[in-house]
Amino acid sequence: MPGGDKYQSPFCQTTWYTPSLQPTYFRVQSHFLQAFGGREQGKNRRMLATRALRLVGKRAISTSVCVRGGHGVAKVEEYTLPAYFDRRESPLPDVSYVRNLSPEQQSLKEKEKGSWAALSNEEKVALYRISFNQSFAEMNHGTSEWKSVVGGMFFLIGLTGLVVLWQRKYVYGPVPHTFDPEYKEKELQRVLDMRMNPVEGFGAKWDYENKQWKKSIFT
Amino acid sequence: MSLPKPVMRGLLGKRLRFHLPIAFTLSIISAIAFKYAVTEPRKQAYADFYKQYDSVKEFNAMREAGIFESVRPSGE
Repeated sequence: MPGGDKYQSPFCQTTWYTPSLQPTYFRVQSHFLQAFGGREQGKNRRMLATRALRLVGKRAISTSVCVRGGHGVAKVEEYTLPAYFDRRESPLPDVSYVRNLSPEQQSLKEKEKGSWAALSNEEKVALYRISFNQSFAEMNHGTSEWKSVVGGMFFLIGLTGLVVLWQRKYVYGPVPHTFDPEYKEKELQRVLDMRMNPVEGFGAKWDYENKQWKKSIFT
Repeated sequence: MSLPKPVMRGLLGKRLRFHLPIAFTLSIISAIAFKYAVTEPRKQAYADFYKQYDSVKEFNAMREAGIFESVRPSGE
């Protein structure tokens, strides 16, 4: 808003005043409107350019003011920086594996700048290990995790079986009378009387002439 | 390092040229096997059943067994 205001920067813990008529980054639109309104037509473009430059300059000043404000730049968190990862689908991570090179590794890196044919095989492997943690063969290596998974599965299924047994004994009531053996015999007789599935199914296994089950398993 | 350069191109084509004929052959074989192991015996079983089928006799047998509600056994 015009007239100057207190601006709390999220990046440093200082507050600093914006002079009047100097807008913050987000209020550029209103500033340009003001420029158009307050100047003659012929000078508008030049005025806009100088205004834009002054905007950038002011912003730069404000950043350095922020640094000198005594609280420093905000601490950069570890997890916000590019990370190293071993993944098959993206083979080149953002950073190399070893960040702080030992003196031998640094001399090796210097040697790498020359002809690569001069590097021995061990040096090439050492350079690889600086950049990468695991090779593709190592990272794709199978684990034995499936054994514990299957073992856990069986164990939990067994536990569930015990729970089901307990439930059957102590929770459920008696089954209906239709499960009695005599009732089941009558049901079976009725099924055969109705000639259910006489071609290939149940009725095909019963010998209606001799009132017995057919001997052959192939009907 | 004298490793041979790995194959970089044509991997999908190679895979298809290998797997597609196998896939088609196996599918056709399984279809033929199903036809001659399941459908033909089934058709034959139905044909044999209805060759000697006397529907009136079967109906009377069922009626005597007492399963119908519209016609009771001849005894009652």
